[in-house]
Amino acid sequence: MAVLTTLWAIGVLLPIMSLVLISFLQGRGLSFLWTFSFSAYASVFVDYRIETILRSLRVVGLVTLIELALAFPFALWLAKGIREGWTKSILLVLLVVPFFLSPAARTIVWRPILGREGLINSMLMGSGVTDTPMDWLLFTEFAVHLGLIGPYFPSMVWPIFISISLIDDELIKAARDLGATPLQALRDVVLPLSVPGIVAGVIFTAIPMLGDNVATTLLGGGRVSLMAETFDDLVRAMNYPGAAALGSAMLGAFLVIAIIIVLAFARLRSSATNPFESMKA
Amino acid sequence: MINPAGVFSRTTATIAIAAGAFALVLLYAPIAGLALLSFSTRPLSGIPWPMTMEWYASLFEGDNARWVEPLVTSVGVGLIVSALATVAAVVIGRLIPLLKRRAGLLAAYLSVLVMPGILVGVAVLFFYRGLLDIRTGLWSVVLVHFVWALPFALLCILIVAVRFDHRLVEAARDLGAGAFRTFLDIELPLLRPGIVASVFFSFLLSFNELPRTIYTRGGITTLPYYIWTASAAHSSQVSLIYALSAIIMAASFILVLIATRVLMRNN
Repeated sequence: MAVLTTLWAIGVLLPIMSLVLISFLQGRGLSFLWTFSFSAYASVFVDYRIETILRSLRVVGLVTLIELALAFPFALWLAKGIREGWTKSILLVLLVVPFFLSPAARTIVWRPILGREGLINSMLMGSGVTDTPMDWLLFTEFAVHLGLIGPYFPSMVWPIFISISLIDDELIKAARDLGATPLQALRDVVLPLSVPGIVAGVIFTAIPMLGDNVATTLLGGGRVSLMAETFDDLVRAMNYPGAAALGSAMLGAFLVIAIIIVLAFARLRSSATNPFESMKA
Repeated sequence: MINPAGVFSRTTATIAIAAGAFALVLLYAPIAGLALLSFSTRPLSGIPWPMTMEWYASLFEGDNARWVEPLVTSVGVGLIVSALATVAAVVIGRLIPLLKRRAGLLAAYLSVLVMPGILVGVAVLFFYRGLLDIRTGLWSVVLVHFVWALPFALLCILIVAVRFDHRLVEAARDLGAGAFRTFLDIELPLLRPGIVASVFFSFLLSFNELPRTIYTRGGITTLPYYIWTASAAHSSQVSLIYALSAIIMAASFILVLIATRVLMRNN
């Protein structure tokens, strides 16, 4: 195992970390000049790319919030609202399967559904609701949002579902017996104990979504380019240090979030792990 | 009783179910739509009727059959990745529950799970092609797929390995079995559900992988890459892509069902 871990560290983790090094070099074709410079960062964080990056953050932030709003109640219900049985098993399998299906194949279908001559428009026009096709359905931010919500839903549900499943039913029942309304039990018992799951869910959803290239390319149609396309542009323009700089920025964000989580966990563990502990005061 | 733990009233349960149903519809409507439209005479109109088998039939005609070579490549890569990831996952996974300080090790292996695919792809391209000047190709595709599959494979093994009663291994040792014999007769059968699930899942993850492949493929064309280029371009091939994708999707679906069944039967 030691051999494997060493290989993993050198062969996989090192290349990822080397992005930081490359981002400070100057590129010439696919080789790099060993001179230290910030020019890569300057080339990435220029006006139009800044705009793309901000747009990515906005889209990913909004979709992540929507996922959380949809996934938390559903995960809570899956964990505490339904008994073990066929329904639950089937729902859980439905939440596993999408991880292993081709993302491009299931996104492409939105095009004939949303398009100018697509299903929705021809239905609306056929029934006489409107006589001009709606253009805002496809190749817009709306389409990108719609295309992202489905595929990233399981990544949000799973961590929250697991963390809520681990909460002892007796804790909730005790709170209810002591006179808490369902909402109070949710706020004071379930919510604090599911924080790790929520944090994990947000990470598992938001970070891969930042690098998503399928929904934006197929449904954004070049008009709503996000971070992945910026990567593509930089690589195609042979600005490899630039792409590395963008990657390093993402890596940095990733590390900051990871550190915040570790600290949050440390605090959570040092404070009362049992919600009734804090109620004693 | 709809409410074992008492956090739900009838109204809140309805809201929760509605939220989940909404997301699941957004998730599965395109999948169902793909299957339906693959039978449509005009898939690009979004209207499933009139139905036809034309696209499926023409999948093998002349130039249309160009997907066969990428398919063979993808199956080959998938099998290699599946074998490598599962072996590595068993080697690591059977020891992790025994370690005292395992948080760092787990983080090292599982952290790649949340890294955006293109980031891993670009990193591998720059490091090996840029810094070390090694040509990309089959090996780099296998590498990035391995990186993608290993965390999942490891989780499959860990689910089984953490429930593993290690006194069984000690008992076998006490009774005189060698290290290899113990592994073969005691550990392997107990880990089998995890191994089977890992083989299936790793294969599927590799088989359907796209963002990492784009940057590291060298001259290799995998099936998802073929479908991606054909569907991103507004080519006449798109109708065929629907039929082809529907077949792959159905096959993947069945494989996942088998794997989850194997994994769940143990629990």
